[in-house]
Amino acid sequence: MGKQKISSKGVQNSCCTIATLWWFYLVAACIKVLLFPSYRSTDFEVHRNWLAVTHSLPLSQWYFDETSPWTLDYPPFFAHFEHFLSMFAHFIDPKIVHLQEGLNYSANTVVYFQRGSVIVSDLCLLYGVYRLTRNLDSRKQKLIWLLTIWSPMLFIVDHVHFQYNGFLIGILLISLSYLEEGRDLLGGFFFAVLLCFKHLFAVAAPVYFVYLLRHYCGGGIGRGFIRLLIMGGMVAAVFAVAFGPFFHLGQIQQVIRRLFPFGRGLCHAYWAPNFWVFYIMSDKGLAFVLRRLGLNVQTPTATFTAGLVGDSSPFSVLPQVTPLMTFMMVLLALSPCLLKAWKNPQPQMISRWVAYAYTCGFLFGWHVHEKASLHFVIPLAIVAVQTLEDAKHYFLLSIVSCYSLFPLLFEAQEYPIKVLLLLLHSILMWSAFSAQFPDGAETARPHTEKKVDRHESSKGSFVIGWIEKLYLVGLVTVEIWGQFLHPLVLGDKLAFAPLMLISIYCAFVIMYSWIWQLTSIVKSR
Amino acid sequence: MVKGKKTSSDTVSVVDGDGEQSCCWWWLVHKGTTTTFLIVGLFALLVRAAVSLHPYSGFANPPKFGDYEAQRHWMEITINLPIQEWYRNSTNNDLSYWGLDYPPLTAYQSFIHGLFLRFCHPASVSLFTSRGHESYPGKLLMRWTVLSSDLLIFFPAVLYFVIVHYGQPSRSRKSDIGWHIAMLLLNPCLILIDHGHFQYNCISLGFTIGAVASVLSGMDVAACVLYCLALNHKQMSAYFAPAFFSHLLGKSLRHKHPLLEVSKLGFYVLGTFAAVWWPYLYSKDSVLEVLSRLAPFERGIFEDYVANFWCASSIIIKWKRLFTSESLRLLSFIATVITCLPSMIQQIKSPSNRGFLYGLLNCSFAFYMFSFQVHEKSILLPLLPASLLAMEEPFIFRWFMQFAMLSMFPLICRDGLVVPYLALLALFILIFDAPDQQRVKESNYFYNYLGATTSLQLPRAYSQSHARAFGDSRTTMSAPPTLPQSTNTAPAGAASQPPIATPAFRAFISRLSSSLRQGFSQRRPWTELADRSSFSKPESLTEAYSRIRKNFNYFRVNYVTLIVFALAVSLITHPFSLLVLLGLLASWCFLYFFRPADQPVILFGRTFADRETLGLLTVLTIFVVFLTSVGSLLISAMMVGIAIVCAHGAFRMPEDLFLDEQEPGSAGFLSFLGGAAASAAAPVVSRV
Repeated sequence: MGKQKISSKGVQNSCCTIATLWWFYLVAACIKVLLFPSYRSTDFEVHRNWLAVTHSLPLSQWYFDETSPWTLDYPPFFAHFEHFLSMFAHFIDPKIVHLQEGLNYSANTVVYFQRGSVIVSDLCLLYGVYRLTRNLDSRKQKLIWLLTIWSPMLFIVDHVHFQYNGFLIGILLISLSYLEEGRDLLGGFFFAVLLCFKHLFAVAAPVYFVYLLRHYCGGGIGRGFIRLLIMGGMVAAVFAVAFGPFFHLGQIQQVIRRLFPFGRGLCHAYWAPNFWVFYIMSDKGLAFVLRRLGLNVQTPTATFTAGLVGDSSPFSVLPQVTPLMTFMMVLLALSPCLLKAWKNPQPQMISRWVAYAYTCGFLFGWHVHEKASLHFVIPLAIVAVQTLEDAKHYFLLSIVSCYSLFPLLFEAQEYPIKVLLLLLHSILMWSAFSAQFPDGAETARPHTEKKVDRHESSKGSFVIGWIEKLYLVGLVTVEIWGQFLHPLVLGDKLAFAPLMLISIYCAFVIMYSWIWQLTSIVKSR
Repeated sequence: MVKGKKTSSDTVSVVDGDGEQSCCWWWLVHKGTTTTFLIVGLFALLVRAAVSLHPYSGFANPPKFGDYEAQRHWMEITINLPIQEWYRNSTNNDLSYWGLDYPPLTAYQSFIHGLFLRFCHPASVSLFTSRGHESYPGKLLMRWTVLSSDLLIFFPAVLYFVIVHYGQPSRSRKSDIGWHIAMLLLNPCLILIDHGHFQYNCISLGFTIGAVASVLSGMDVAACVLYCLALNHKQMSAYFAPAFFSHLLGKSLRHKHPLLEVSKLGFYVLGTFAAVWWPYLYSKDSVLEVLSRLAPFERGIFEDYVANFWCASSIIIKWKRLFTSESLRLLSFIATVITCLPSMIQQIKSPSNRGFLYGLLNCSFAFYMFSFQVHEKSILLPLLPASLLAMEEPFIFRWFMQFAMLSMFPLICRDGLVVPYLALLALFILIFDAPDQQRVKESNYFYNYLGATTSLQLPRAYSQSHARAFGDSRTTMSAPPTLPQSTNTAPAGAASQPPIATPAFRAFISRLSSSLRQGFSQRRPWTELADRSSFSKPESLTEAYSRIRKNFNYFRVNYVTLIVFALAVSLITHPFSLLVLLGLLASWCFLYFFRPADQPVILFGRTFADRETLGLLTVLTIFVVFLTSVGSLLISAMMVGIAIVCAHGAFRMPEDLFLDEQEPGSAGFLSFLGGAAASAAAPVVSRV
C-alpha cells in the first residue's frame, strides 16, 4: 500500500514540481529585488564597464581598452554575454554603455538593470538544478532547491556584492546533470562552454579529462580513439568559437595576459580561509619564536597580497611560494580523486569529484578569492541529501563558508541582512535535514522505513554533534569579538585582526571538509 | 516534548502520518509551532531589513520632510526637554513643526529610542541643530529602532496569538499554522508603512494582537491592560474599542458577579491610563493640553484620497461643501455607530472567541469607512483582524489585502517605494498561493457557501424556472415544442410568448452587428501597428503619455480588439468564469432588458416588481464580479490588455500617423452601445 501511495504521489508531484520550483525561484527573486539598493562592490562598476566596452568598441578592441582600471579579464564568452546584455542596457539608458560618461554611473536605471540581469541570469541555475533533481523524490528535490536556490552565499555574492556566479554555476550544474545521465558528450560540451565563460572553473578540468577519457572513450582502442577524436574536436570547436576571432586578429597573447594576471600575490586582500592561512601563520609564529631564541630573522618587505615584487620573499622563515608550486600542490591533492576516476568512472560520483576538485583549488590555489568557495558548496548540495554523513558535513561546511563571506559586506547597513541570511539558512537546513533524516521513532514507522532503507548509511537521526556545537559557539564568539569587543577593547589597533581571526577560524572547517571529502572519495567503492 | 507528541500520534493512524509526510511543507513545519515561527519570523525579519534599505517618507525633501522627520523630531524633543513641555508650544518646542500628536506612550517610546540614538550618533538628535538631519548612520539607527520594536512587540504578540488560537495543533494542521504565521508576519502593508514609509505601527498593533490573544485565552485583565497600552500608543487603536468593549462586557455579564467583574476591568483600564498619563495628571490644563494635540477635529473629514465612504462618495456628493464640519462630525459619528452596532450587540448577547474576531473586523472596518478624519494608513487597522481571520476567510483576506495595497499606492509612489511595493505584493501572493496547498480551496468557508451557492445555485434556480420557458420559446421559433413541460414550476404566462422576439432585442442585435462591422472596418492595418522602424523609447513620462493619447486615437479599433482578444483568451482558458459570466449576462438580458413590458417576473410563485428585479440583478452582479474569481479574472485580463496597449502606445512613434478624416469622437467602435442602450432603454422607459 505504501509503495502504491508513493508512486501515485510521484505522478501527482511531477505536475506540481515545476510550479514549486518556480515558487522557490520567485520567492528568492522577491528578496533579491528588495536588496536592490544595498551595498555594491567595485565589481558592479567592473561589470558596468564591460557592458560599455563590449557595446561601444569593436571586438578587436575589447581586450585592449584601458579607459577604466577595470579592464576586461574574463574569457570571450563572458564578454559576449555582456555584449548581449548591453543591447538591452542601451535601450534602457544609453549612458550605461557609454565608455567615458558612464564611468561610476550610479543612477537607478543602471542599478535596476544590472541587478535585474543577475536575477534573470539565475534562470540558468534554476534550469541546472531542475535537470539535476528531476528524477529524485520530492522531499530530496525540495531540500536541494532549498540549499541551492535559496543559498545565502549566492545572495551575498551575487545580489549584494554583485557578480554572476549563479549563472556560471548553473552551467556547471547543467554539465554535471548531463554527465550523471551518461550523456558525456553534452556534459563535456557544457564544461568547455563554462571554461570560456570563466576560466577559474578550469580547476576541475583534470577530473573532467580523466573521467571523460575513461567513461566516454573507453571500450576498445578503435572505438575509444574515435570517441576521443569526437570529444576533442567538440571541445576544440568550442574554444575555437570563443578564442578564434582573437587568434585571427593576432591578439591571443593579450587575451592570455588579461586572463592570467600572475602579478598578483599569493593571497587576496582578504585572506580566503585556505591552506595558505596556516602557512603564513606558522611562518609568523616561527619567526616570532626564532627571534625570541636570539636568531636574527629579517622582517619581510613584501606582502602576501601585493604579488611577486622582485625576489623578495614575503616569508621570513618558510620557503617562498610560487604559482608553479601551488599548481603542483593542487594536482597532488587531486591525484587520489583522479586515480579513483581512472579506475572506476562512475556517473553518480562525478558531482563529488568535481566539488572535491574545486575544494582543492580553493585550498591550495594561487590568489584565491573567498567567493570561490561557492564553486564547491553549491555542487556539494546535490550530494548532501544522499546520506546522513553528507548532510552533517554539508551543514557545517555551508554555514562556515557563508560566514567566511561576511567580510565582503562590511557596511553597517547590510549587517542585519547577512546575519539574518545565515541564521535563516542554518535553521532551514537544520529543520529540513532533520525531516529528511528523522529520529528513531520516525524510522520505526512502516511507511518511512521504505524510504530510509534505500540509503543504508542513514541510520540514526540528524543531530549536531558536540564538537560541531562547540565550533559553532566559537563562530559566534569570533563574530561578537570582531564586531563588538575588538573595537571596544583594542580600538583601532590591530584593525586587521578580526578579519584574520575569521579566516583562520573558517580555514579549520574548510580543511576538515577537504579531508572528509578525500576520505569519502577514497573509501567509496 | 515534540518527540512524545509524535509517538502518541503514531498509534492514532498511520495513513494520517503518510499524508503529512507527503505534505509539501513537512520539512518546514515538522518541528512544531515555535520552530516554524522561528523560521518564518527570521524570514519576515530579513524582508523587513531588506525593505529598510529603501528610502523613507520625505527623503531629501525639505523643509517639512515626512514621517521620518516627525519621528526623529519627537526623539529630539523628548530627550532634550522636560516631560511637561513635550506637548506644550514653547520657544524650544515649536508645535507647528511636527509637534507631538500621539498619546504619551509614543512619547516615551520616542524618548527611549532617542536615548539610543544619542548614545550612538548624538548629532542626529541634538536640539534645534538636528532639524532635517539626514545621514547614513542616522537612517540606519532609526531603521533599527523600528526593527527592534517590531521584534520585541509585534513578533512575540503574533507567537502568543498563534499558540492561543491553535492550542496543541493536530499534525495535519501544522502547515496551515505555518501559513497563517507567514500571513500575519508578512503583511505587505504593515512592512511598507513601518519599514519603508517609517512609522511605529508595529507597536500599537502588536499590543492589540497581544490583547486579542489574551481575550482568546481568557485573561481579560491582561487584555484590558494591553489594549490600553495600544490605545495610548496610537489613538487610532480606538477603532477596536467597540469590539473589545462589547465582548468584555458580554463576558462580564455572564459572570457570577457582573458588576464586580466590570468594575475590576474598569479599574485596570483606569489604572493603566493613570500610569501612562501620570506626568500630566498634576493639573487639568496639562491633560487638556495633551488631549487637544490628539484630537484631529480641526482637519477635514478625510485626507488626500483615502479609500473610505466619505472620500469615495464625495465624487458625487460634495460632503465638504454641503455640510459644516460640525454636522459632518455628527454624521460620521452616527454612521460609525450604526455600522458597529450589529457586532457589538451580538457580542454582548453571546460573546464568543470567533465572534470577537469578526467583531474586531467589523468595528475597525466601520471606523475606517465612516469615521471622521481617516488617513490612508489607517487601512492597517482593519487589516489586522482580517489577517487574524486569514484562515477562516482566506478569500476576503486576499482581496482586502490587494485593495489595501492598491489604496496605498499613491502614498508609496510619493515615498519612492514602488520597487519594494511590487516585490512585497508579489511575495504576498506567492506565499498566499504557496504550492501544494489544499487548504485555500477546501476550507474557504465564504467561497464555498456563498460563492458556490450563489454563483452556481442562483443561475441554476433561474434557469430551472425560466430557461425552460426561453428554451421552449426558442424551439417554438424553429420547431414545434418537444420538451415536456414539468409540472411543479412554470407559472402561467411564462411560456406563452417568446420574449426573445421583442423588438428591442432585434434592434439591438442588428445595430450591434452593423456597428461592429462598421467599427471593425475602421481598423488600421495590423502591419502598421507592428512597424519595426517606428519604435523608439519615449524620452519622458509626459511624452509617453502624449504618444499613448495620439496612438490611441489612431489605433483605437486595433487597441480595443487587442483588449477584447486578451479578455477572450483569459475567459476561454477559464471556462467556469465564462459560464458564470454568460449566466449573468443571460439573466440580465432575459430578466430585465428584453423582457416584454407586460410580463412580470415570476419566480417561485412570487411576482417581482421591476425595481426588485433590478435590485436583485445588481446585487447579483456586484457579488459575482467583485467577490468571485470572475472579477479578478476580468480585471487582470483587462489590465494585461491595457498594459500591452500602453506599452505599445508609449513606444510607437506617432509622428507618421495622421487621421484620414475628421471622425466624430463618439462615432467610434463602441458607439453601438450608446445607440443600443438608447433603443433598449426605450421599452424600459415605456414600462415605467
